[in-house]
Amino acid sequence: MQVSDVISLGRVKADFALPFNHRAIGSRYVVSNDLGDHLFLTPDELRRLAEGDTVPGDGLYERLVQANLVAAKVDVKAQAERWKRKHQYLFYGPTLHAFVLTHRCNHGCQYCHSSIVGMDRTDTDMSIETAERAVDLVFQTTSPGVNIEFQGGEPLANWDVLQHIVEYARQKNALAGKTLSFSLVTNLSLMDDDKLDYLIDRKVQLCTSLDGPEDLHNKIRIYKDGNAHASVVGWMKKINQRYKDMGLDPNLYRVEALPTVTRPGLTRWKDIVDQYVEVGCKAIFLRKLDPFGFAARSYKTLGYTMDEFLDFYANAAEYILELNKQGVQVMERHAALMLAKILTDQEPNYLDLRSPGGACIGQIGYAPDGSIYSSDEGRFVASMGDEMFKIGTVADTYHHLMTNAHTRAMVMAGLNDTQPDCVTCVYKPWCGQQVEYNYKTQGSLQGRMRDSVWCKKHKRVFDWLMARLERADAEEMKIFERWTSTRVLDHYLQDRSALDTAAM
Amino acid sequence: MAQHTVESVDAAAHRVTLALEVGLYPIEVLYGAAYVFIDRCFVLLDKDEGKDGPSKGGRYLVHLRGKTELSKKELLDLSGEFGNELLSQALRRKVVKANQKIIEEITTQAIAGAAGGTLPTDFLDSSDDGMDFLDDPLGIAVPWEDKFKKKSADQP
Repeated sequence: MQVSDVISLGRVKADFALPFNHRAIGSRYVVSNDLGDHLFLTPDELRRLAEGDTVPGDGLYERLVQANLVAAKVDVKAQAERWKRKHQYLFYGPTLHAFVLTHRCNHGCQYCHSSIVGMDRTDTDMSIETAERAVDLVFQTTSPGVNIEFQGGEPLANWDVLQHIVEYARQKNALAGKTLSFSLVTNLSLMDDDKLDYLIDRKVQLCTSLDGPEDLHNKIRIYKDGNAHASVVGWMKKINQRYKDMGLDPNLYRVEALPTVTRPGLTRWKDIVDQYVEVGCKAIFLRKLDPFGFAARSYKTLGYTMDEFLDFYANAAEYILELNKQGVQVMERHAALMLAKILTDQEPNYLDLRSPGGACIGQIGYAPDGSIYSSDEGRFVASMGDEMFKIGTVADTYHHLMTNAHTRAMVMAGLNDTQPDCVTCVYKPWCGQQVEYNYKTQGSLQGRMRDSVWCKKHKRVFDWLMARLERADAEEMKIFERWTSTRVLDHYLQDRSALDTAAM
Repeated sequence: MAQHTVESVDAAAHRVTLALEVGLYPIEVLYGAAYVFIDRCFVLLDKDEGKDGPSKGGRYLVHLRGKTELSKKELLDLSGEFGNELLSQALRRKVVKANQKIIEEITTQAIAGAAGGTLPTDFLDSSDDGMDFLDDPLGIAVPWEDKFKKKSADQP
């Protein structure tokens, strides 16, 4: 179906509709405006929209007005306020602060993004002094909410500094009064009961990697001191039980896990999803292999084409939907984020699906030596010997980090409004780019969306969702709407008057 | 004459040379595209004034020499990719120019929001409830049939 078969340019009534983009989905077109309102229209309805061939009372007119597509009927003030709400992230600085506590790791994962070193290399640990300077910067963000995420290497290897950061940040927050939370990305192999007691007491959210069933996980995530899968699954179950024992809702409070999809996993979508359900996960984020770090070097053995990944994704997502129909509550996180943006006025502030992207102004990454990067991915690029995304060090001022030329360039490059493809894409109001990915895969911050695998992935996932939404029955819509509901995980938020329990 | 051609391919030297008509792309676009290739190639930009001299505009020559061994097919792919990058850069330049105001507004807001600065006074001014964006001073919204239709006989 060619749009030229539907719309005759000479008959377009340009002042009737608010600017919109369109894309064929099945036998209809999905149409969206910059506010993120959307409608499915038949070819004839699209023609009538373009030609202004609709009047009050004919049904189509009312649908178009409801979707803010009829220019004369748009409440500009109300929609400007709405635009502002949906772009709240433009009004404050980085929320996510990723602390790389060490480059040491006891795993040898074949796709690792980071430049890991052996466990004896304590010289790659973040020092107390660097950590404190970094935390000082964190609290200068204009964001009312702050999440400090501990990463590595394996961050549990630098336990003393992790504890120090938690206590120091809690102390600072007694004055700053921000919405503060901590999360720890760990392979769990260095976890013990004492550490777990502390982390639970200090409400540190735990996240780990789980690539699927034992054979798949252990094939990729090499752990010479034991069984990586048994270790991670054992701890996940134990920690989830602790949350239950504390009376926390198991639907909300549990260890979060992420799989990284590798070539051996492409045909194992069902096994991977089943593994997640089996350990009690309510969400699964199907991540493609990144072009960074070891992943770039092991691409020949672990890599695949984007088409292969997207086939995997569609199979897994359909299976997840089927499980939901059977009463199993599990969601695909990427789809859920997109749905939240499509179906609601929520802004989940997922850094890869916003414009401008999250580099510098949404997140920053702190390396053990005090270098500061645009993001986690910026740090991954650095681990490959390219300091393109270094925006400063912990010795710099916060103001300098946010306003220097690097930051400005990344913000501008990460705007959908600068991209030839994006400006005419129906998914523009819900999509975003990552300048680090553009740079690594196409050599420039802007990249070229037309042959970008990033764009291809997003477009295809949006296509899958739109096709699903276009023909969804009431049961499926209920599932999708449930995926979009977000509840604040209050338990993980730090008590702002916690000084009395903070043991420095 | 083609406006963008592969001038020569030398697989032994891992080098391909493209020729572009001067004026086809702004020089900034050529620089921008060339820069994208410098991690993979040694890039040399040159100008061939041609037999007819500078008055005819001449051609830009782009020499790309691979930093690693490249087959003839890989060199041709490289030249094709260079062509794509040129087009992408040129079109992006136009898009950025067309959207310059909104890009500047959003970037300013994002940086000011992050750094704790003040907003530009006219950014999302809630007192401005006009419908200026629907104005059409250049007549862009007027169908071209209407704009260029022959005047009827009774019109002066």
